[in-house]
Amino acid sequence: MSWPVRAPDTPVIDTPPAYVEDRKDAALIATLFDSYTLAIHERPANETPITEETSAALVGFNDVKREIRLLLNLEEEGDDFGPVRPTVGSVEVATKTLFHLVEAGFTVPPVKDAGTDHDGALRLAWESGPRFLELVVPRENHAAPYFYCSEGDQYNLQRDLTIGAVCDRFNWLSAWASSAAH
Amino acid sequence: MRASDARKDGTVKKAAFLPSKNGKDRDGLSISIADPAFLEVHRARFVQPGKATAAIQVDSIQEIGLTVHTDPDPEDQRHALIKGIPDITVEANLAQVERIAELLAKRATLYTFPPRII
Repeated sequence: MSWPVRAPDTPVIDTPPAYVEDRKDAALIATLFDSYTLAIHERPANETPITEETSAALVGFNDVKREIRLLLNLEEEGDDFGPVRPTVGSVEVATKTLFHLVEAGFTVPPVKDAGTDHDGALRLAWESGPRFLELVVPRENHAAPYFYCSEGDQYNLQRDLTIGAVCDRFNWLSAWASSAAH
Repeated sequence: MRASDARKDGTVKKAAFLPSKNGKDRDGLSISIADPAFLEVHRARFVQPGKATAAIQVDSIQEIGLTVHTDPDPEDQRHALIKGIPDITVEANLAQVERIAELLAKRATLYTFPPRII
């Protein structure tokens, strides 16, 4: 049996391993998160001022950020099933989508699940009683994000992620808890 | 499934039951039929770092309109496929595929292999 031996004069191409690039991504994401937090704290005086609602909303938003950071810090990029770490692009889309809620003074509820599926799509899920809501951001840049929601026998896919539609969807989620409390 | 697809309370995330878009699940979702005679085969296959095993009754798969087909392979004679899930790559099917994954996940529980008897 013989083993392949590299000739002594073969140049060694020292390419950084993939995770080095990923750490750059993580740093980029950290900057992105901080920029959103600063955006809400350093608004010009002529813009909507920070209210108690906005500050409370930031608490929930920070919880989501923490969950996403855990995913970004995963050591392995992928496993037998597929990619495990979300992309910068998908994290940015999710962050922007949820930041709409903060801007509207809406408290982002604690996430039930945060993870990626076998295709590497970022999935953030919330639950309130029988109501289930999941934000899905595909790994591919060209694929549109969406909400999947369900309650009992009803389910739906929502492609509209404009500010109003996102707020409406989280109002729907929290309405059950509000009605249950009364 | 991934260990991260299991929650601490023993329930299972719907991501565990979503077919991949890359086509590897086109024939169906891969499962193994529990069989004491194949316990060690399944243990070797599923008890691995970063992996977990979910248990789901065949009846509960069938009650949501899916079917279970035996698909023995050399490594696992009790290998089977869950069939009937629409093609996830077709946009019009996406909501239904998400729903099926949700229903399967609700019916599944985290499975712990019994200790090996020496």
